Amino acid sequence: MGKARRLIAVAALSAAFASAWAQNAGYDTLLSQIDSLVTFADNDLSAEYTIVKRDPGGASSTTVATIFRRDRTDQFLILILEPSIDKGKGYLKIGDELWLYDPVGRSFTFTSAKERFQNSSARNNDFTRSNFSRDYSVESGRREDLGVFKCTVLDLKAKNDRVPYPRVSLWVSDDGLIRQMKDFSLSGQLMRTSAMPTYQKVGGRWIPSSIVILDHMRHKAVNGKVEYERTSISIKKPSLARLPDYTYTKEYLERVNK
Amino acid sequence: MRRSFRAISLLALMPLLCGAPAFGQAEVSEPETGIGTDAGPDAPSPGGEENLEELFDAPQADTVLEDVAVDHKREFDRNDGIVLTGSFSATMGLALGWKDAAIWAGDLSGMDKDLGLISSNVLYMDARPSESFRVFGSCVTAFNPSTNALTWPTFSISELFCDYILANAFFIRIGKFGNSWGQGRLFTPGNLSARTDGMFAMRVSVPTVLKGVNAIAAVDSQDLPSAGEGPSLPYKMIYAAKADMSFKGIYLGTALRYQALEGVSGLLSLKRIVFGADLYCDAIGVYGPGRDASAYSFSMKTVAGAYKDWKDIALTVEYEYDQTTGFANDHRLGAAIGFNNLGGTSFDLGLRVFHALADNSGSFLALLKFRPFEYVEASIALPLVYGKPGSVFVLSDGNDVMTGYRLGLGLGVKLSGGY
Repeated sequence: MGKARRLIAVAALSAAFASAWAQNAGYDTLLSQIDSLVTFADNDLSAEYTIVKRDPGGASSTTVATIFRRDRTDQFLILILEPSIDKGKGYLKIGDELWLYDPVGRSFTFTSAKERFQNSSARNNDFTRSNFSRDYSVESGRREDLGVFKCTVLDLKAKNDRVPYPRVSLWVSDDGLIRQMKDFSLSGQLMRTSAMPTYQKVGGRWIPSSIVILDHMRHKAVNGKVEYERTSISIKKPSLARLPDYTYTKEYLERVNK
Repeated sequence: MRRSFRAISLLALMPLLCGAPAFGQAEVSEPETGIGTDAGPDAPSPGGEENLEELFDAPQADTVLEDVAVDHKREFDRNDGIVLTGSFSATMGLALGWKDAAIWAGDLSGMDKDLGLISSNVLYMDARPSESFRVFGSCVTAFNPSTNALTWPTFSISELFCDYILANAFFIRIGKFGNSWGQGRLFTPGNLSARTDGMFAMRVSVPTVLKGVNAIAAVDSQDLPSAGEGPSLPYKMIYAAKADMSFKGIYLGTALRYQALEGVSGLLSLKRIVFGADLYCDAIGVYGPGRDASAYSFSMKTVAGAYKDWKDIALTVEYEYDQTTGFANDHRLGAAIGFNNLGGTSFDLGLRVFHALADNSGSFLALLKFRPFEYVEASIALPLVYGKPGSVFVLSDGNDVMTGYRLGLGLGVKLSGGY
């Protein structure tokens, strides 16, 4: 009897393990699908981005930029159009490296792509291709409703230090698109919440129509309510027009400015 | 017999009042590291927290776009006709200056003062007839009643160059244009291309090789001693080349510069971002004739520094060692800090200090600016130089007080606008 019980227990454990393994494998597949749906591997992508940052309880500032993106080589070029004081500034990302161009000093600054964009809640990495399946592993998953969306929630842990946040939770709707993302520190502190309620389909791939980001590290109590720094990004006129290789170079960035 | 302070004092202080990049901010401010030191809300607020849940209650439907061939690049590559823009500024200032070291004993009697007005206008011209060709120019005219007749006597071309892209691979720039190499912000011996700014030059860049390779040939802007039959063109030429690379998040730049009468200079730059701060180093080797045009010898210069900026604060610290200045053991320290919107006001404050370790001389500058009205900026500058007569910074052209003066005070109001 004892032997039979042990066999049953082992079988049950094995089944549970196999089920969990199969589920995790499914989550991994979903993660790859997420990347695939929003990565423009065969084309350049360009679009107009309007970024409105609202300080908690305070003033708003608007940045308008044109972004050129080449996902297959992990490159992007951002050219600032507004505000006028920043017009001509540019960001060139090549892999994990970022060059900032200041048209006043005619100088390039070499930095990391993990930093903030124009001091907003957006990170420079937010403008590049999605690499969740490369940079994160799935820790757990569950089903959850998010407004009108039926979502699978994936809790991710970073596999490397190339990413700005070591832990991330994704709310993925049944069409494979990320609708909400929460970024956490290693200790579990919520750092940032991003919402992407609407997407636009461009040549078989998807790009958000708008992104709203709350920065939980920048907050203020306003009329008894905690307000966070809020950055709203709207993306217009996405285009797949082919761009020459030199578009993603410092020389081009300098040329299109002064 | 005190030398007249008129003219030179304002000329010394006007750049400060006009907003010269005195605090090593020539480079673009980088985004802040990100994670603030303040944690999330300590306790739940009675009114709750802002969240994004309402965005998902009735979102707009996803859309499918048909027109996906918008040429965004054209907007930057071409313009119709010539685009003319410009800026005008008028600065009125009061400058006070003290020459004697007696001021340290509280004796302020040796004061010179002056009141002045400087106006300038910069006109920019930009023509982009095609993706591969562009002409850009800027010219300046200035009016300084304290030194000139009552007219606009000064007219100069600051820049005039054309850009040409050959075979989508070579970027060629010909004419008069600015250039900046090296990583130093306060000390800039790594800018081997600095003297190519003022004269006719040609630069060829191959941006897709390494992280960019470029070469410059320029007619030197300085008066050179004659050699052979005189300062003929070969002796007036500067040749320089630079290559940028990166390896595992470390920027590596190398450059060489040759001038027939000055010899060869080489530059090695390193830069890495650590916890959101730039750490950088420029090492420069010079092989050329000594200061008295004696036999060729090798000398070194080096700069090491760090730069970090937060939302409204930027901090730079640097160390420089230079064997070519003529001072023994010329080790220098520099630091600059800038505060934007001080305490939530429209005041900006900058502080900068240089110190020579060899003789404990130095230079200090405080600059306060604020904007009482649109297009109007008021500023107060307080430069001072300390050290014994003949010491590094008392003699240095790099301090912000004219030679012979130890302390200055500038008050300025600038009206400026772009068009």
